[in-house]
Amino acid sequence: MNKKPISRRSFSKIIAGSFLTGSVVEAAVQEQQRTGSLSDDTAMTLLDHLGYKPTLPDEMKTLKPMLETTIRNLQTIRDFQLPIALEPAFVFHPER
Amino acid sequence: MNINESLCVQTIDQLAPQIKSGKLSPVALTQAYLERIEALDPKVNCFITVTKNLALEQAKKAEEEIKAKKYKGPLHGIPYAVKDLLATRGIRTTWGSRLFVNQVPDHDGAVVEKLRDAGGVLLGKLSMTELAGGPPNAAFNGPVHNPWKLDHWTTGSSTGPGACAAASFAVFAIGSETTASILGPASACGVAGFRPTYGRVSRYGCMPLSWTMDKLGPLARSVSDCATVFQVIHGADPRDPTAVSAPFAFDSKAKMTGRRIGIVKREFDQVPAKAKSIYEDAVKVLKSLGCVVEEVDLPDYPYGIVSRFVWQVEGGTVFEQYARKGELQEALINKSKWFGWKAAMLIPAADYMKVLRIRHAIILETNKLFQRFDVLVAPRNTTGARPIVTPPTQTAGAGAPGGGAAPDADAGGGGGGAGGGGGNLGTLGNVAGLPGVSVPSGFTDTGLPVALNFVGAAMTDGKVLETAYAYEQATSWHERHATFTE
Repeated sequence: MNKKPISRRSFSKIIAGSFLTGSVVEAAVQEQQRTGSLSDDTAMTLLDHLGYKPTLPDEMKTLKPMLETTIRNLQTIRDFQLPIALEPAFVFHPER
Repeated sequence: MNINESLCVQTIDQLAPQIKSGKLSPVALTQAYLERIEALDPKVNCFITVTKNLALEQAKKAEEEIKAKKYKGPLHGIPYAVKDLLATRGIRTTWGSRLFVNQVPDHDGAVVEKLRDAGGVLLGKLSMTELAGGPPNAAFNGPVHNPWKLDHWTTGSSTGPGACAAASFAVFAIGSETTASILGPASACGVAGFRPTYGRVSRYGCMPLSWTMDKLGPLARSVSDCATVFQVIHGADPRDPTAVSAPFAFDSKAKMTGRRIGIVKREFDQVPAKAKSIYEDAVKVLKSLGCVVEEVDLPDYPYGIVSRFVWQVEGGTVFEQYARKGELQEALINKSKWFGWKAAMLIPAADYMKVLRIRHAIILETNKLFQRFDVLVAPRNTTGARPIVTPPTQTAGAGAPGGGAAPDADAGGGGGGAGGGGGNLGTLGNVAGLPGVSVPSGFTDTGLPVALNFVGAAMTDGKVLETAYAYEQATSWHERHATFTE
């Protein structure tokens, strides 16, 4: 896997490409799959998307790993195989 | 630390006959607890509000009723305390948070109503981490100190209930659990804790955090007391659509012969070398009771990730109205908490639906597992409670990496899954809404409690309690009392 952080130009291309899916999340997922991490640009874009503005100088040191973990967890969910007919646990009845 | 200790350490089983016969006055018992709280709670910090006048009033009423031969049952005249996320009419209910520090409800929570109607005596409201989750300092009134070693934590978020039961500041306490908050503090504080099947206890009047994972349950100095309290508080409530009524029976003399116990191999294998002998002995005890003990591997599911997405999305939704106004972020001590919720809400709807489908798969697989076993067992808190460490000046991003601290940051060495405490059995138990009991199973070489957790199939609360009780009574760990060591 190429772990080199992507350039702003590449990132912009990905964003442009993901416009069709309408999701900055998808761009982040693709970047993390390709590079194993998120660039600072991507992290900031995700924060913008969440409406969150870091205000303290060292916030990004902990916010970025949290975003990376969320994106990684999302991929784990996506990769998990399930029978096609299995419905969600909408109505929660543990005695099912 | 002998402030009324010989009286205050007693259990419901020991106190109720004395109260019923008139040998012990509920007023004298309540006064004994109030004195003990006043003298010792400054060391522990488990009470946010002590309801002294109300307690004495309720104790007096109980005494009069019992003298008039109107005995209501084993909780009549018994002093207790509740986690400060349960509404109490006219008494502030802070949810452990600066944001709600002056909140005064105009109603009682269902559990408080039931305990009052059963003749219980409310001593006060207990500390908790803010909005039911976070590290030791994430509580507006400061950290709660473990009564076994005061410079150590209790684990959360039912920090106050765990400490209260261990310090014998009440006969029992009521806590809540989303992913670890009853069994975690019970394990760290060396007391019994019971997390009922999801939906068996009404959450009316309880702070919501995760609608599909929150449960209320007792912490006490014996499993039998937990069963007695549950008998009073369980049942349907039209004000809580998730609450159901179901039969409950607890037989303290239930035979364990042939009871099928699955010991979760991965979690037993993870026990540190120093604690191995404790858990080897625990397994021997189970076998000596006649249980059929077998190693089991839990089905391979991303329990922690499912748990985390569910409670963070649900919790974020609960408090979003405060976040929109900026009030939540301003008030939170653990700033990463809100961010963790927000980050989880990045999940697209279709993927969240997948989370819920995986959750359903976990429930179905778990049902199959419980066709082979009556109860699953795993170690908990195997290295003892952690020290309370004052963090450096809080930055907004500080906190556990990976999506923010779990709502019940169980950092007591239980091998917590990514979604909350207690390793995979703990996380599985909460994702699937299963009943669980924590029982003391020994001590570390530094004098801190360690525990064994028992988990059963949904709605088998009685069976899980019976099994845990049998183990407890075959050992003497529950007979030791907190030492308030500095």
